[in-house]
Amino acid sequence: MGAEFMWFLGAVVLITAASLAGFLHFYFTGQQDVLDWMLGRKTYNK
Amino acid sequence: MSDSLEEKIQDALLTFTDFLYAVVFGLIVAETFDKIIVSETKSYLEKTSNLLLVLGVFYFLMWDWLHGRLLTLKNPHKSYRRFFIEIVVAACGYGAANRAINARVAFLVYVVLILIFGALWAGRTMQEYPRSRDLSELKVIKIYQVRYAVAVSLGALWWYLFVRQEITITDAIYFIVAGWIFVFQYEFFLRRPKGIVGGPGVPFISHETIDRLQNSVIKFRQLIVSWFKSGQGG
Repeated sequence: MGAEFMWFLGAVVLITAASLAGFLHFYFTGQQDVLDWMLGRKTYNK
Repeated sequence: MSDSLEEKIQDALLTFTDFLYAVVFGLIVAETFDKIIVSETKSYLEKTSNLLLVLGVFYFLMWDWLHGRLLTLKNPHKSYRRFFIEIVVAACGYGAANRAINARVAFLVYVVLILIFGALWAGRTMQEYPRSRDLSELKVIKIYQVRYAVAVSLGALWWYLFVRQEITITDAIYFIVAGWIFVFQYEFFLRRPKGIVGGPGVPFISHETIDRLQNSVIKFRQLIVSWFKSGQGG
């Protein structure tokens, strides 16, 4: 496997880790309203 | 100050920002034509890889601007800070496109700056509108964009140190697929409103498909939780 492909796999892991870190931030800071909105438990009140 | 005067100022600021972005997009198209399409020094392969990369960056800038614009329409400027942030973001957008036109990986540095300034912009909007209906979305933008900025910085550093500085056609495809995965994950966590108000979303995937995928993940999570609880009970 080339260095480019390894980079691509690493990039996917980094993006996924960043997404997970964002989700866990709301989870551990107890921002239930944001989690509810993200998980669709609270609808977009437009 | 009367409300109508405030509205006129807000309209003027929006018009200025739109004009600036139109100039930036125009410059990108003009430079793409001059430096890539009619270039006599580049091979067809180099031209294709450059064009792919520019298209990817162009889409990212358009996607970012459209979502910012939609949020500004719903939460108009109350001071000039967000306006100046938007101008800096437009300048960074031009920087990103310019580096992509020259097939340099440094375009990721400008993407990082756009993400950081976007997070600052969301934070400022939250301060101006603490009771905004878009508060959840703004919170997600603020938190996620900082984390994505760290991820993209690490990715850029990795590429710069261990791969190379210039970008080939295979690299351009990897960048576009990684960019698509980034937009997909970003949109996956945002419950945007339906229709045109929700913005462009993820390329090649409808809002309905994203909704179905989100619901599947929630059902899967519920299944895991109920299985775990029944296991504890038994």
